[in-house]
Amino acid sequence: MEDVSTPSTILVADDEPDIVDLVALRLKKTGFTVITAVNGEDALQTARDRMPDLVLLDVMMPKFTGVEVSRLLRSAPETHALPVILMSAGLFDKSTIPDDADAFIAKPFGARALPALVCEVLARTPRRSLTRETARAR
Amino acid sequence: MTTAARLSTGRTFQAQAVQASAAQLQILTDSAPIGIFQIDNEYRYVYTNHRWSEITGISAELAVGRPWDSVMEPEDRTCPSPDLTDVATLTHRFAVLGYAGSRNGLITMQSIPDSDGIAVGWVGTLADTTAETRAKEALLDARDTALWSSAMQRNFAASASHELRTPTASVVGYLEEVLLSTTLDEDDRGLLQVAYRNSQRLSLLIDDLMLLDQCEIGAPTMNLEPTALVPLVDRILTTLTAAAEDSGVQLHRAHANATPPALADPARIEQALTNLVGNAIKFTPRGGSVTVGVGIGDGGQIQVTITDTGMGIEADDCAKIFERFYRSRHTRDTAIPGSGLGLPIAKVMVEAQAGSIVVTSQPGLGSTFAVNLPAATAHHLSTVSVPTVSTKE
Repeated sequence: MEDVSTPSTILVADDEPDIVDLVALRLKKTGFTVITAVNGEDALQTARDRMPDLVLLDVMMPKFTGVEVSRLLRSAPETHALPVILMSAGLFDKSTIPDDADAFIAKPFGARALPALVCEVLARTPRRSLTRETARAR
Repeated sequence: MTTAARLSTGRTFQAQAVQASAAQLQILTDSAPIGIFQIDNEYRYVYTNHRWSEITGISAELAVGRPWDSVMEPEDRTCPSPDLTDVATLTHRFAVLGYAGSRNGLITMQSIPDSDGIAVGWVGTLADTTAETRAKEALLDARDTALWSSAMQRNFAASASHELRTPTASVVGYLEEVLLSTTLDEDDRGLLQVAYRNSQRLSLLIDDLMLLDQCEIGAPTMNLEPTALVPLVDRILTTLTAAAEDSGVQLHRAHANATPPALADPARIEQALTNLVGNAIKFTPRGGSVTVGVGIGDGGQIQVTITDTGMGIEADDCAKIFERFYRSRHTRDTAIPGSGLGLPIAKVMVEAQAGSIVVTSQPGLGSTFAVNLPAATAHHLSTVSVPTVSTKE
Protein backbone atom coordinates (compact mmCIF):
# COMPACT_ATOMS: atom_id res chain seq x y z
CA MET A 1 0.00 0.00 0.00
CA GLU A 2 1.10 3.50 -0.68
CA ASP A 3 1.91 5.71 2.26
CA VAL A 4 -0.28 8.81 2.30
CA SER A 5 2.74 10.91 3.28
CA THR A 6 4.70 9.94 0.14
CA PRO A 7 5.25 13.15 -1.82
CA SER A 8 3.20 13.30 -4.99
CA THR A 9 5.11 12.87 -8.24
CA ILE A 10 4.53 15.52 -10.86
CA LEU A 11 5.45 15.07 -14.51
CA VAL A 12 6.47 18.38 -16.10
CA ALA A 13 6.58 18.45 -19.92
CA ASP A 14 7.79 21.45 -21.89
CA ASP A 15 10.14 21.83 -24.87
CA GLU A 16 11.71 24.91 -23.24
CA PRO A 17 14.40 23.56 -20.87
CA ASP A 18 14.50 26.82 -18.89
CA ILE A 19 10.79 26.57 -18.18
CA VAL A 20 11.06 22.89 -17.22
CA ASP A 21 13.86 23.75 -14.75
CA LEU A 22 11.93 26.69 -13.32
CA VAL A 23 8.72 24.71 -12.84
CA ALA A 24 10.67 21.76 -11.41
CA LEU A 25 12.50 24.06 -8.98
CA ARG A 26 9.26 25.54 -7.71
CA LEU A 27 7.52 22.20 -7.32
CA LYS A 28 10.54 20.64 -5.56
CA LYS A 29 10.62 23.58 -3.14
CA THR A 30 6.97 22.89 -2.39
CA GLY A 31 7.89 19.27 -1.62
CA PHE A 32 6.85 17.43 -4.76
CA THR A 33 8.91 14.82 -6.58
CA VAL A 34 9.39 15.99 -10.15
CA ILE A 35 10.02 14.03 -13.33
CA THR A 36 10.38 15.76 -16.69
CA ALA A 37 9.77 15.31 -20.40
CA VAL A 38 10.91 17.43 -23.36
CA ASN A 39 8.15 16.81 -25.89
CA GLY A 40 4.68 15.36 -26.24
CA GLU A 41 5.75 11.85 -27.17
CA ASP A 42 8.23 11.75 -24.30
CA ALA A 43 5.52 13.04 -21.94
CA LEU A 44 3.06 10.33 -23.01
CA GLN A 45 5.64 7.55 -22.60
CA THR A 46 6.86 8.85 -19.23
CA ALA A 47 3.30 9.20 -17.96
CA ARG A 48 2.57 5.57 -18.92
CA ASP A 49 5.86 4.22 -17.50
CA ARG A 50 6.10 6.20 -14.29
CA MET A 51 2.44 6.83 -13.45
CA PRO A 52 2.86 10.26 -11.82
CA ASP A 53 0.15 11.79 -9.61
CA LEU A 54 -0.33 14.71 -11.95
CA VAL A 55 0.95 15.90 -15.32
CA LEU A 56 1.71 19.47 -16.22
CA LEU A 57 1.79 19.87 -20.01
CA ASP A 58 2.89 22.74 -22.18
CA VAL A 59 0.34 23.19 -24.98
CA MET A 60 2.76 23.92 -27.84
CA MET A 61 5.18 20.98 -27.83
CA PRO A 62 6.74 19.06 -30.70
CA LYS A 63 5.61 15.53 -31.66
CA PHE A 64 2.35 15.75 -29.67
CA THR A 65 0.84 18.97 -28.37
CA GLY A 66 -0.19 19.14 -24.72
CA VAL A 67 -3.83 18.95 -25.82
CA GLU A 68 -3.14 15.76 -27.80
CA VAL A 69 -1.21 14.18 -24.91
CA SER A 70 -4.09 15.06 -22.61
CA ARG A 71 -6.61 13.36 -24.95
CA LEU A 72 -4.40 10.28 -25.35
CA LEU A 73 -4.03 9.95 -21.58
CA ARG A 74 -7.80 10.26 -21.15
CA SER A 75 -8.47 7.60 -23.75
CA ALA A 76 -6.34 4.89 -22.06
CA PRO A 77 -7.85 3.04 -19.07
CA GLU A 78 -4.58 3.16 -17.09
CA THR A 79 -4.22 6.91 -17.38
CA HIS A 80 -7.76 8.17 -17.89
CA ALA A 81 -8.06 9.54 -14.32
CA LEU A 82 -4.64 11.18 -14.26
CA PRO A 83 -5.05 14.89 -13.41
CA VAL A 84 -3.81 17.14 -16.22
CA ILE A 85 -2.88 20.81 -16.06
CA LEU A 86 -2.17 22.57 -19.35
CA MET A 87 0.12 25.57 -19.48
CA SER A 88 0.76 27.91 -22.38
CA ALA A 89 2.30 31.19 -23.43
CA GLY A 90 -0.12 31.37 -26.35
CA LEU A 91 -3.34 33.26 -26.78
CA PHE A 92 -6.19 31.39 -25.22
CA ASP A 93 -9.88 31.70 -25.40
CA LYS A 94 -11.95 29.73 -22.95
CA SER A 95 -13.33 27.84 -25.93
CA THR A 96 -9.91 26.55 -27.03
CA ILE A 97 -9.06 24.92 -23.70
CA PRO A 98 -10.18 21.30 -23.85
CA ASP A 99 -12.83 20.31 -21.33
CA ASP A 100 -10.96 17.21 -20.29
CA ALA A 101 -8.00 19.11 -18.81
CA ASP A 102 -8.37 19.69 -15.06
CA ALA A 103 -6.91 23.19 -15.15
CA PHE A 104 -5.11 25.71 -17.30
CA ILE A 105 -2.40 28.20 -16.35
CA ALA A 106 -1.07 30.97 -18.60
CA LYS A 107 2.64 31.71 -18.79
CA PRO A 108 4.25 33.66 -17.25
CA PHE A 109 2.96 32.53 -13.86
CA GLY A 110 3.93 33.79 -10.42
CA ALA A 111 6.19 31.82 -8.08
CA ARG A 112 3.30 30.78 -5.87
CA ALA A 113 0.54 30.44 -8.45
CA LEU A 114 1.76 27.19 -10.00
CA PRO A 115 2.42 25.10 -6.84
CA ALA A 116 -0.88 26.42 -5.46
CA LEU A 117 -2.75 25.27 -8.58
CA VAL A 118 -1.06 21.83 -8.47
CA CYS A 119 -2.06 21.42 -4.79
CA GLU A 120 -5.62 22.51 -5.55
CA VAL A 121 -6.04 20.09 -8.46
CA LEU A 122 -4.52 17.23 -6.44
CA ALA A 123 -6.86 18.01 -3.54
CA ARG A 124 -9.99 17.86 -5.66
CA THR A 125 -8.92 14.74 -7.58
CA PRO A 126 -9.35 11.44 -5.74
CA ARG A 127 -6.07 9.62 -5.23
CA ARG A 128 -5.85 6.84 -7.76
CA SER A 129 -3.54 4.66 -5.71
CA LEU A 130 -5.42 1.53 -6.75
CA THR A 131 -5.03 2.33 -10.44
CA ARG A 132 -1.42 3.20 -9.92
CA GLU A 133 -0.65 0.08 -7.89
CA THR A 134 -2.32 -2.05 -10.58
CA ALA A 135 -0.21 -0.47 -13.26
CA ARG A 136 3.01 -0.85 -11.29
CA ALA A 137 2.31 -4.51 -10.55
CA ARG A 138 2.27 -5.35 -14.26
CA MET B 1 -17.21 31.38 -132.04
CA THR B 2 -18.39 27.78 -131.72
CA THR B 3 -20.61 26.69 -128.90
CA ALA B 4 -17.78 24.52 -127.57
CA ALA B 5 -15.38 27.41 -127.72
CA ARG B 6 -17.96 29.65 -126.02
CA LEU B 7 -18.43 27.04 -123.28
CA SER B 8 -14.70 26.66 -122.85
CA THR B 9 -14.25 30.40 -122.55
CA GLY B 10 -17.11 30.44 -119.97
CA ARG B 11 -15.33 27.77 -117.87
CA THR B 12 -12.11 29.70 -118.07
CA PHE B 13 -13.90 32.78 -116.83
CA GLN B 14 -15.48 30.74 -114.06
CA ALA B 15 -12.11 29.24 -113.11
CA GLN B 16 -10.54 32.67 -113.15
CA ALA B 17 -13.37 34.03 -111.04
CA VAL B 18 -12.96 31.19 -108.54
CA GLN B 19 -9.22 31.76 -108.44
CA ALA B 20 -9.75 35.47 -107.97
CA SER B 21 -12.19 35.01 -105.10
CA ALA B 22 -9.88 32.42 -103.48
CA ALA B 23 -7.05 34.94 -103.68
CA GLN B 24 -9.31 37.62 -102.19
CA LEU B 25 -10.30 35.25 -99.41
CA GLN B 26 -6.62 34.49 -98.81
CA ILE B 27 -5.89 38.23 -98.55
CA LEU B 28 -8.85 38.68 -96.24
CA THR B 29 -7.96 35.80 -93.93
CA ASP B 30 -4.28 36.69 -93.91
CA SER B 31 -5.06 40.25 -92.84
CA ALA B 32 -7.58 39.11 -90.19
CA PRO B 33 -6.58 40.08 -86.66
CA ILE B 34 -7.42 36.57 -85.45
CA GLY B 35 -5.83 33.22 -86.28
CA ILE B 36 -7.79 31.26 -88.88
CA PHE B 37 -7.18 27.65 -89.86
CA GLN B 38 -8.63 24.59 -91.52
CA ILE B 39 -7.95 20.96 -90.65
CA ASP B 40 -8.81 17.85 -92.61
CA ASN B 41 -10.63 14.72 -91.50
CA GLU B 42 -7.38 13.35 -90.04
CA TYR B 43 -7.07 16.42 -87.83
CA ARG B 44 -4.10 17.81 -89.74
CA TYR B 45 -3.67 21.42 -90.74
CA VAL B 46 -4.37 22.16 -94.39
CA TYR B 47 -4.49 25.94 -94.10
CA THR B 48 -3.37 28.53 -91.57
CA ASN B 49 -3.39 32.33 -91.91
CA HIS B 50 -0.73 34.90 -91.05
CA ARG B 51 -2.07 35.68 -87.57
CA TRP B 52 -2.17 31.96 -86.72
CA SER B 53 1.58 31.82 -87.49
CA GLU B 54 2.17 34.90 -85.33
CA ILE B 55 0.45 33.30 -82.38
CA THR B 56 1.96 29.82 -82.71
CA GLY B 57 5.37 30.82 -84.06
CA ILE B 58 4.93 28.22 -86.83
CA SER B 59 4.99 29.28 -90.49
CA ALA B 60 2.12 28.30 -92.81
CA GLU B 61 4.40 25.97 -94.82
CA LEU B 62 5.50 24.09 -91.71
CA ALA B 63 1.99 23.94 -90.30
CA VAL B 64 0.55 21.95 -93.18
CA GLY B 65 0.26 18.28 -92.28
CA ARG B 66 0.84 18.75 -88.55
CA PRO B 67 -1.68 17.30 -86.05
CA TRP B 68 -4.16 19.93 -84.87
CA ASP B 69 -3.09 19.78 -81.21
CA SER B 70 0.66 19.93 -81.93
CA VAL B 71 0.60 23.68 -81.16
CA MET B 72 -0.40 22.97 -77.54
CA GLU B 73 1.84 22.24 -74.56
CA PRO B 74 1.61 18.44 -73.99
CA GLU B 75 -0.32 18.80 -70.70
CA ASP B 76 -2.99 20.82 -72.53
CA ARG B 77 -3.63 18.18 -75.23
CA THR B 78 -6.48 16.96 -73.10
CA CYS B 79 -9.23 17.84 -75.51
CA PRO B 80 -10.64 14.75 -77.24
CA SER B 81 -10.29 14.82 -81.02
CA PRO B 82 -13.46 16.19 -82.56
CA ASP B 83 -16.10 13.67 -83.54
CA LEU B 84 -16.31 13.41 -87.33
CA THR B 85 -19.81 11.98 -87.40
CA ASP B 86 -21.25 14.83 -85.43
CA VAL B 87 -21.54 18.35 -86.73
CA ALA B 88 -20.38 20.37 -83.83
CA THR B 89 -18.45 23.30 -82.48
CA LEU B 90 -15.56 22.94 -80.10
CA THR B 91 -13.64 25.35 -77.92
CA HIS B 92 -10.41 24.62 -76.10
CA ARG B 93 -8.05 26.79 -74.05
CA PHE B 94 -4.36 25.92 -73.97
CA ALA B 95 -0.80 27.13 -73.43
CA VAL B 96 1.01 27.56 -76.76
CA LEU B 97 3.85 25.07 -77.28
CA GLY B 98 7.34 26.50 -76.91
CA TYR B 99 6.52 29.59 -74.83
CA ALA B 100 6.94 28.01 -71.39
CA GLY B 101 3.38 28.85 -70.44
CA SER B 102 3.79 32.54 -71.24
CA ARG B 103 1.45 32.50 -74.23
CA ASN B 104 -2.12 31.25 -74.19
CA GLY B 105 -4.56 30.49 -76.96
CA LEU B 106 -8.23 29.73 -77.44
CA ILE B 107 -9.35 27.54 -80.34
CA THR B 108 -12.94 27.72 -81.51
CA MET B 109 -13.82 25.45 -84.42
CA GLN B 110 -16.77 24.29 -86.44
CA SER B 111 -17.03 21.12 -88.46
CA ILE B 112 -17.51 21.21 -92.25
CA PRO B 113 -20.11 18.58 -93.10
CA ASP B 114 -20.41 16.88 -96.51
CA SER B 115 -23.80 16.18 -98.14
CA ASP B 116 -24.21 13.10 -95.86
CA GLY B 117 -23.55 15.12 -92.72
CA ILE B 118 -20.12 13.58 -92.11
CA ALA B 119 -17.40 16.05 -91.24
CA VAL B 120 -14.76 16.36 -93.91
CA GLY B 121 -12.75 18.79 -91.87
CA TRP B 122 -12.95 21.74 -89.55
CA VAL B 123 -12.49 25.46 -89.81
CA GLY B 124 -11.71 27.53 -86.81
CA THR B 125 -10.17 30.56 -85.20
CA LEU B 126 -7.28 30.86 -82.82
CA ALA B 127 -7.27 33.80 -80.42
CA ASP B 128 -4.30 34.96 -78.35
CA THR B 129 -5.70 34.99 -74.80
CA THR B 130 -2.40 35.71 -73.03
CA ALA B 131 -3.50 39.11 -71.69
CA GLU B 132 -6.87 37.76 -70.58
CA THR B 133 -5.25 34.77 -68.87
CA ARG B 134 -2.68 37.01 -67.14
CA ALA B 135 -5.42 39.31 -65.88
CA LYS B 136 -7.37 36.34 -64.52
CA GLU B 137 -4.24 34.92 -62.89
CA ALA B 138 -3.40 38.32 -61.40
CA LEU B 139 -6.89 38.49 -59.91
CA LEU B 140 -6.55 35.00 -58.43
CA ASP B 141 -3.08 35.88 -57.13
CA ALA B 142 -4.42 39.03 -55.53
CA ARG B 143 -7.21 37.05 -53.90
CA ASP B 144 -4.76 34.41 -52.63
CA THR B 145 -2.43 37.11 -51.30
CA ALA B 146 -5.29 38.81 -49.49
CA LEU B 147 -6.44 35.52 -47.96
CA TRP B 148 -2.88 34.64 -47.02
CA SER B 149 -2.12 37.97 -45.39
CA SER B 150 -5.36 37.89 -43.45
CA ALA B 151 -4.52 34.38 -42.19
CA MET B 152 -0.96 35.52 -41.46
CA GLN B 153 -2.27 38.44 -39.48
CA ARG B 154 -4.40 36.11 -37.41
CA ASN B 155 -1.53 33.68 -36.91
CA PHE B 156 0.85 36.51 -36.10
CA ALA B 157 -0.90 37.44 -32.87
CA ALA B 158 -0.86 33.81 -31.73
CA SER B 159 2.77 33.08 -32.66
CA ALA B 160 4.10 36.45 -31.50
CA SER B 161 2.35 35.97 -28.20
CA HIS B 162 3.94 32.57 -27.72
CA GLU B 163 7.39 33.66 -28.87
CA LEU B 164 7.43 36.77 -26.68
CA ARG B 165 5.87 35.27 -23.59
CA THR B 166 8.11 32.19 -23.44
CA PRO B 167 11.38 34.06 -22.78
CA THR B 168 9.55 36.61 -20.61
CA ALA B 169 8.20 33.77 -18.49
CA SER B 170 11.78 32.63 -17.84
CA VAL B 171 13.04 36.14 -17.04
CA VAL B 172 10.19 36.94 -14.64
CA GLY B 173 10.26 33.47 -13.12
CA TYR B 174 13.98 33.19 -12.40
CA LEU B 175 14.17 36.75 -11.05
CA GLU B 176 11.30 35.88 -8.75
CA GLU B 177 13.16 32.79 -7.55
CA VAL B 178 16.34 34.77 -6.78
CA LEU B 179 14.35 37.44 -4.95
CA LEU B 180 12.82 34.73 -2.76
CA SER B 181 16.30 33.87 -1.51
CA THR B 182 16.95 34.87 2.10
CA THR B 183 20.73 35.14 1.69
CA LEU B 184 20.56 37.93 -0.87
CA ASP B 185 22.57 41.10 -0.12
CA GLU B 186 20.18 44.07 0.32
CA ASP B 187 21.88 46.20 -2.37
CA ASP B 188 21.72 43.34 -4.83
CA ARG B 189 18.09 42.74 -3.91
CA GLY B 190 17.33 46.38 -4.74
CA LEU B 191 18.98 46.07 -8.14
CA LEU B 192 17.22 42.81 -8.90
CA GLN B 193 13.92 44.31 -7.87
CA VAL B 194 14.33 46.98 -10.55
CA ALA B 195 14.97 44.23 -13.10
CA TYR B 196 11.99 42.26 -11.82
CA ARG B 197 9.63 45.26 -11.86
CA ASN B 198 10.60 46.01 -15.44
CA SER B 199 10.33 42.41 -16.57
CA GLN B 200 6.80 42.40 -15.18
CA ARG B 201 6.08 45.64 -16.99
CA LEU B 202 7.35 44.11 -20.22
CA SER B 203 5.20 41.07 -19.63
CA LEU B 204 2.06 43.19 -19.13
CA LEU B 205 2.91 45.24 -22.20
CA ILE B 206 3.16 42.07 -24.29
CA ASP B 207 -0.20 40.88 -22.96
CA ASP B 208 -1.83 44.22 -23.75
CA LEU B 209 -0.36 44.35 -27.25
CA MET B 210 -1.54 40.85 -27.99
CA LEU B 211 -4.98 41.61 -26.63
CA LEU B 212 -5.24 44.67 -28.84
CA ASP B 213 -4.03 42.79 -31.89
CA GLN B 214 -6.38 39.91 -31.22
CA CYS B 215 -9.28 42.31 -30.89
CA GLU B 216 -8.60 44.32 -34.02
CA ILE B 217 -8.47 41.26 -36.21
CA GLY B 218 -11.04 39.38 -34.18
CA ALA B 219 -14.12 41.58 -34.42
CA PRO B 220 -16.04 38.80 -36.19
CA THR B 221 -15.19 36.42 -33.35
CA MET B 222 -17.03 38.38 -30.66
CA ASN B 223 -19.40 36.05 -28.83
CA LEU B 224 -22.35 38.37 -28.51
CA GLU B 225 -25.08 37.32 -26.12
CA PRO B 226 -27.62 39.01 -23.85
CA THR B 227 -25.43 40.16 -20.96
CA ALA B 228 -26.65 41.57 -17.65
CA LEU B 229 -24.20 44.38 -16.95
CA VAL B 230 -25.07 45.08 -13.28
CA PRO B 231 -23.61 41.84 -11.85
CA LEU B 232 -20.70 42.12 -14.30
CA VAL B 233 -19.89 45.67 -13.17
CA ASP B 234 -20.27 44.70 -9.50
CA ARG B 235 -17.78 41.89 -10.05
CA ILE B 236 -15.29 44.38 -11.55
CA LEU B 237 -15.77 46.72 -8.57
CA THR B 238 -15.06 43.85 -6.16
CA THR B 239 -11.93 42.91 -8.09
CA LEU B 240 -10.66 46.49 -8.08
CA THR B 241 -11.51 47.27 -4.43
CA ALA B 242 -7.97 46.49 -3.25
CA ALA B 243 -6.39 48.68 -5.94
CA ALA B 244 -8.76 51.54 -5.04
CA GLU B 245 -7.96 51.20 -1.34
CA ASP B 246 -4.23 51.25 -2.08
CA SER B 247 -4.70 54.49 -4.01
CA GLY B 248 -6.96 56.01 -1.35
CA VAL B 249 -9.83 56.26 -3.85
CA GLN B 250 -13.43 55.44 -2.95
CA LEU B 251 -15.45 53.22 -5.30
CA HIS B 252 -19.20 53.82 -5.62
CA ARG B 253 -21.94 52.05 -7.55
CA ALA B 254 -24.90 53.97 -8.91
CA HIS B 255 -27.04 51.63 -11.01
CA ALA B 256 -30.46 52.53 -12.37
CA ASN B 257 -33.27 50.10 -11.54
CA ALA B 258 -34.13 47.21 -13.85
CA THR B 259 -31.74 47.83 -16.71
CA PRO B 260 -32.32 45.32 -19.52
CA PRO B 261 -29.41 43.18 -20.71
CA ALA B 262 -27.01 44.44 -23.38
CA LEU B 263 -25.97 42.51 -26.46
CA ALA B 264 -22.29 42.02 -25.67
CA ASP B 265 -19.41 39.58 -25.38
CA PRO B 266 -19.25 39.10 -21.57
CA ALA B 267 -15.50 38.39 -21.37
CA ARG B 268 -14.54 41.23 -23.71
CA ILE B 269 -16.84 43.82 -22.18
CA GLU B 270 -15.54 42.88 -18.73
CA GLN B 271 -11.99 43.46 -19.96
CA ALA B 272 -12.92 46.84 -21.48
CA LEU B 273 -14.79 48.03 -18.38
CA THR B 274 -12.00 46.78 -16.08
CA ASN B 275 -9.52 48.87 -18.07
CA LEU B 276 -11.77 51.95 -17.86
CA VAL B 277 -12.46 51.62 -14.12
CA GLY B 278 -8.79 50.80 -13.42
CA ASN B 279 -7.79 53.84 -15.44
CA ALA B 280 -10.21 56.07 -13.50
CA ILE B 281 -8.75 54.84 -10.19
CA LYS B 282 -5.21 55.44 -11.45
CA PHE B 283 -5.90 59.03 -12.51
CA THR B 284 -7.84 60.03 -9.41
CA PRO B 285 -5.76 61.56 -6.61
CA ARG B 286 -5.91 60.19 -3.05
CA GLY B 287 -9.17 61.17 -1.35
CA GLY B 288 -11.14 61.22 -4.60
CA SER B 289 -13.81 58.84 -5.82
CA VAL B 290 -14.86 56.77 -8.83
CA THR B 291 -18.55 56.11 -9.46
CA VAL B 292 -19.75 53.41 -11.84
CA GLY B 293 -23.36 53.16 -12.94
CA VAL B 294 -25.36 51.00 -15.32
CA GLY B 295 -28.47 52.52 -16.90
CA ILE B 296 -30.25 53.34 -20.14
CA GLY B 297 -28.67 55.97 -22.38
CA ASP B 298 -29.84 57.90 -25.43
CA GLY B 299 -31.74 55.90 -28.01
CA GLY B 300 -32.40 53.04 -25.61
CA GLN B 301 -28.81 51.86 -25.57
CA ILE B 302 -27.42 50.30 -22.43
CA GLN B 303 -24.95 52.69 -20.87
CA VAL B 304 -22.19 52.21 -18.32
CA THR B 305 -20.78 55.47 -16.97
CA ILE B 306 -17.48 55.71 -15.13
CA THR B 307 -17.12 59.08 -13.43
CA ASP B 308 -14.02 60.11 -11.53
CA THR B 309 -13.00 63.16 -9.53
CA GLY B 310 -9.54 62.99 -11.06
CA MET B 311 -7.28 65.37 -12.85
CA GLY B 312 -9.50 65.56 -15.93
CA ILE B 313 -8.39 65.57 -19.57
CA GLU B 314 -7.52 68.64 -21.64
CA ALA B 315 -9.82 69.06 -24.67
CA ASP B 316 -6.85 68.49 -27.01
CA ASP B 317 -6.13 65.17 -25.36
CA CYS B 318 -9.69 63.79 -25.37
CA ALA B 319 -9.41 62.18 -28.81
CA LYS B 320 -5.75 61.23 -28.44
CA ILE B 321 -6.12 59.20 -25.26
CA PHE B 322 -7.46 56.31 -27.33
CA GLU B 323 -4.35 56.21 -29.51
CA ARG B 324 -1.84 53.48 -28.81
CA PHE B 325 0.96 54.51 -26.45
CA TYR B 326 -0.37 58.05 -26.18
CA ARG B 327 0.36 59.54 -22.79
CA SER B 328 -0.64 63.11 -22.04
CA ARG B 329 1.97 65.55 -20.83
CA HIS B 330 0.33 65.48 -17.41
CA THR B 331 0.57 61.69 -17.27
CA ARG B 332 4.24 61.82 -18.13
CA ASP B 333 4.93 64.61 -15.62
CA THR B 334 3.25 62.75 -12.78
CA ALA B 335 4.90 59.47 -13.78
CA ILE B 336 1.66 57.50 -13.58
CA PRO B 337 2.62 54.02 -14.75
CA GLY B 338 0.88 52.27 -17.60
CA SER B 339 1.45 50.66 -20.97
CA GLY B 340 -0.49 53.33 -22.83
CA LEU B 341 -2.69 50.56 -24.20
CA GLY B 342 -5.48 50.29 -21.63
CA LEU B 343 -7.79 52.79 -23.32
CA PRO B 344 -7.08 51.69 -26.92
CA ILE B 345 -7.95 48.13 -25.85
CA ALA B 346 -11.21 49.30 -24.24
CA LYS B 347 -12.16 51.29 -27.34
CA VAL B 348 -11.36 48.49 -29.81
CA MET B 349 -13.25 45.95 -27.71
CA VAL B 350 -16.34 48.12 -27.29
CA GLU B 351 -16.45 49.10 -30.96
CA ALA B 352 -16.06 45.48 -32.06
CA GLN B 353 -19.34 44.89 -30.19
CA ALA B 354 -21.12 47.68 -32.07
CA GLY B 355 -20.77 49.98 -29.07
CA SER B 356 -19.11 53.35 -28.48
CA ILE B 357 -17.20 55.23 -25.80
CA VAL B 358 -17.89 58.93 -25.21
CA VAL B 359 -15.60 61.02 -23.00
CA THR B 360 -16.56 64.27 -21.29
CA SER B 361 -14.07 65.97 -19.05
CA GLN B 362 -13.33 69.13 -17.13
CA PRO B 363 -9.65 69.58 -16.41
CA GLY B 364 -9.07 69.68 -12.69
CA LEU B 365 -12.54 68.36 -11.85
CA GLY B 366 -12.77 64.92 -13.37
CA SER B 367 -13.91 62.88 -16.34
CA THR B 368 -16.82 60.69 -17.36
CA PHE B 369 -16.39 57.77 -19.73
CA ALA B 370 -19.75 56.58 -21.08
CA VAL B 371 -19.82 53.15 -22.71
CA ASN B 372 -22.88 52.59 -24.90
CA LEU B 373 -23.88 49.11 -25.99
CA PRO B 374 -26.88 47.87 -28.00
CA ALA B 375 -29.71 46.49 -25.87
CA ALA B 376 -30.50 42.81 -26.37
CA THR B 377 -33.83 42.54 -28.21
CA ALA B 378 -36.60 40.04 -27.49
CA HIS B 379 -35.27 38.01 -30.40
CA HIS B 380 -31.82 37.81 -28.80
CA LEU B 381 -33.33 36.87 -25.45
CA SER B 382 -35.29 34.00 -26.96
CA THR B 383 -32.28 32.40 -28.63
CA VAL B 384 -29.59 30.55 -26.76
CA SER B 385 -26.69 31.76 -28.86
CA VAL B 386 -26.52 34.72 -31.13
CA PRO B 387 -24.64 34.83 -34.43
CA THR B 388 -21.60 37.07 -34.39
CA VAL B 389 -21.83 40.64 -35.60
CA SER B 390 -18.86 41.95 -37.50
CA THR B 391 -20.06 45.29 -38.75
CA LYS B 392 -20.66 48.50 -36.93
CA GLU B 393 -22.18 51.83 -37.81
